[in-house]
Amino acid sequence: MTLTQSTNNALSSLSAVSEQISVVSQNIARVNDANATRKVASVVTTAGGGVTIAGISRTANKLLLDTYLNANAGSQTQTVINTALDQLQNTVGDTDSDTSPAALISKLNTTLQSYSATPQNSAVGATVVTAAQELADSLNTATATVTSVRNQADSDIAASVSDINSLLSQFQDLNQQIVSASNSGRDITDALDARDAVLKSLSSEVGIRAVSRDNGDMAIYTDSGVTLFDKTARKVTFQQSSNLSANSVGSPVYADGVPIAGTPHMMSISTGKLAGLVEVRDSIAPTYQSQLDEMARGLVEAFAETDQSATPTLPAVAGLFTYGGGPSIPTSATVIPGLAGSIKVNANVDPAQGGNAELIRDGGISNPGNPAYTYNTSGGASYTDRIQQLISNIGVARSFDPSSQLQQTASISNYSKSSVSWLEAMRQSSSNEAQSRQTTADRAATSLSQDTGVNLDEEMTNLLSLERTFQASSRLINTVDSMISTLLQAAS
Amino acid sequence: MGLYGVMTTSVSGMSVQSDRMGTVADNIANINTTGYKSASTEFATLIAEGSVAEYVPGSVSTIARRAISQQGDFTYTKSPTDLAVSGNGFFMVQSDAGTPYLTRAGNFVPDSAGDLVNAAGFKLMGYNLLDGSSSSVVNSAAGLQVVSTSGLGMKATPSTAGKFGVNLPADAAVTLAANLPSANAATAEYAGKTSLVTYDNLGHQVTLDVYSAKTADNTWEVTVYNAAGASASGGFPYAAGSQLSTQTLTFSPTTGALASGGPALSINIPNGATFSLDVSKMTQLAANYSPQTGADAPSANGSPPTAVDRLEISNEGTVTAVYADGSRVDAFRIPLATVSSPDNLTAISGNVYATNKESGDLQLGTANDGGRGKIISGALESSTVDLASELTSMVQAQRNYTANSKVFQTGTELLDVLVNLVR
Repeated sequence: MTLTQSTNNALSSLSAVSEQISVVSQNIARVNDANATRKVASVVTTAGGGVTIAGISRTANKLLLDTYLNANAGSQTQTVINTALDQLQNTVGDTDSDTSPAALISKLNTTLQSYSATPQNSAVGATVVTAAQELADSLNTATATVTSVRNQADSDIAASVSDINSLLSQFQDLNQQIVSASNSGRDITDALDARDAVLKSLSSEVGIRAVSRDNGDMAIYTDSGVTLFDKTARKVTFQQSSNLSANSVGSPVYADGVPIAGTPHMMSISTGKLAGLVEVRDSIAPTYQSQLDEMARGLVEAFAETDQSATPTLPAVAGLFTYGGGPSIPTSATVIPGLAGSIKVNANVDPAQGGNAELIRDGGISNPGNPAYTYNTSGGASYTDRIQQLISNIGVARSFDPSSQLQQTASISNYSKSSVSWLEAMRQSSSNEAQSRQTTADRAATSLSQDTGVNLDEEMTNLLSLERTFQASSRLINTVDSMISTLLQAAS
Repeated sequence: MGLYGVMTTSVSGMSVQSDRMGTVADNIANINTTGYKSASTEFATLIAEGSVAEYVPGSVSTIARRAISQQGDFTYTKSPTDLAVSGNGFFMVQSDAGTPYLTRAGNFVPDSAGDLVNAAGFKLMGYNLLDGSSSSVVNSAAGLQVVSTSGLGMKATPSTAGKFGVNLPADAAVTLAANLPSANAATAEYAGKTSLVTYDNLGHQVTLDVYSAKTADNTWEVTVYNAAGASASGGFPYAAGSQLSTQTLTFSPTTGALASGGPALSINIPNGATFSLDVSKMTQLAANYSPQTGADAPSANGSPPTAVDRLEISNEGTVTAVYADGSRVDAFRIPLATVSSPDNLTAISGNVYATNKESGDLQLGTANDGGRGKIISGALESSTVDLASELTSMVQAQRNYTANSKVFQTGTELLDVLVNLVR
């Protein structure tokens, strides 16, 4: 051990400390970055007693990261579903709200009862028409809302797919950097952090499994096992529909040529925003739409007019309520997609359109010129039989399509109430589920950050000890310097 | 001889001390020269013939020494081509004229031609592992070539082997024969698909679509297609000739492990090598279709055309070119040379040494083997000069020189006395 070597060792310590300080400074600077992990410069002793920085490593935890990726994907699915249900529920309202179809059906019922008390008063007849008009409008609006929710989901799917593709191409760049720099001693911790951040963003869009391979390489599969990334990014494709209507189905999402969501699907994903959006577009919204369609079909059926001739020969036709396919009555217990969008009050009975509101009392709405459908054959102003029949029709149990997921036999007013409670129950359970999944995701994020994130206290303690080392090494150089000057003085 | 003898002796004393000062000056000047070995002086007496009755002062002569075998300390750098030897060996280098020399100065950098040249301009020599053109000649540097990165152009490695470790869902529905992926119908159904990237001879990417479909309980069909032939949507039906392989695999109903059909699928990659896809780690358990993790994860070797990203030099002296995709190719092996008496080597400008009769013959061998020491990449061997001992030597030389000059001065004064006798 010579004096020169002592100086060299002190110098190596100074340079190691300055590198460690720079790592500490990076850590401190990123204390608020959720994706930053704690970097550690590993110091090794070299032959001769000096020190050098062997490399910079980071505190990573693949297991916790995987847990977070799963929890985050699950939470995103439910959040998306919850948002869509909220949107449906807000516009459609509940049974108490006077804008919901259920409330408007009972309002129509009330006005019919008032009309049956004073059948000679055509102004009361007009209130029945107004109530019917409101009901038809509310079904039309609800259909428009459902359609817009589906279209929104469809365009969100397109956005999500384009996000996935751009995240995958970012991942490809970072993965290439990492693979080529691994084992080189180069500092790749920032690239690793960035790659993990991409994985986190990706897990919001679609449920993923990340598989680590040799040389720091990583492959990504969907939660259903479809390859998203293996050396190169796979294409995720989706054809956005220009305008989804109640009777059209959106296109499926393909990843690596496999349909992963939508119809048809082969290896369908179960989590991530994408899964939630497809669920909203292809299952939740269409089911609610079919309930609305069934309600509308029930109304057309309840207010239908039959042939009043002694020997009925003509088929029943749509009365107060008609629709795009009128005047014939739609088949019982079968959903006609989009019927709720086209239901309307027959112009023949609407005073605003030059019709006659008294036709409600007298019948013959479908064709005032055809006496076969006229109930009030005598033309008496106090005829209430038809009105009473209509009131009982609203209350009578009828068959509904089982695909609407509500009871198959119910009165039209009960059916509409069940639909509201179905939506409310869906919203409630999905909100609870979203909350619990959000909690799981938050917990996973917290434990990931606690395990791998930067702890300011720890960094400050390190900083202090590094400062001491630096001072001691400088002191050593100072001492050797004064020893050499003593020698130089001896030589003079 | 008398007084004249005293004067000549003291002059020789002054002369050797100035030689010693010379080594001190040289050493201090080279205190930061990489690979420098400190010089020192030893002295030998020259005895004049005399008799008991008369003392004839002799003289002293200098023998310059270089402590070439002394190990210097290491300074660590960030460059992988900075090399140091920890042990007895020397790097073989050659001058511009092509003369081989030994050196410990390992501050090499690639020059414009890709040759590794040290600060003094000497080129590092080694065995070429790329084409095996170097021959090994006993006791000579004749078979060595200049270590150069110029031969390391772009390269593509065709894929030859891969692993396909996935779990097949035991409870999947049985696929109808007409809908099996091997039938290549638009209506094809399958329980899982994984795609693997492989490379052909020229480094074109060939993506293999591997489909698994259940044909009966515990029996599966694995079919491999070339993704280039896929339909517009990326799936079935594939263009004719895209099917590369199909194989029926059976799984044990008790363990879920592969029972027959393995252990590997042989696939002829279009314009590429024969690719062996190891399916032995496939399982059939009551879980989702999922790729295995860890060592069994689906993967394939091979690489697209990539350029050299950096060089790595191992302790054994193997120069490995690391390509941008992470693949490694051993390009050169740097041998270490030893001689039986390194301290007797002839020092030549530029921190290099030449062998001579005293040093013994050159012996070449692999580093980290047979006492030749190991090569440390990213480090340099510092000069062995110690400032404190040099300054001490300097003070000693100064005092000794003064003492010799005093003897000379006294001799002159005595001669003066003698001359003044005849007045």
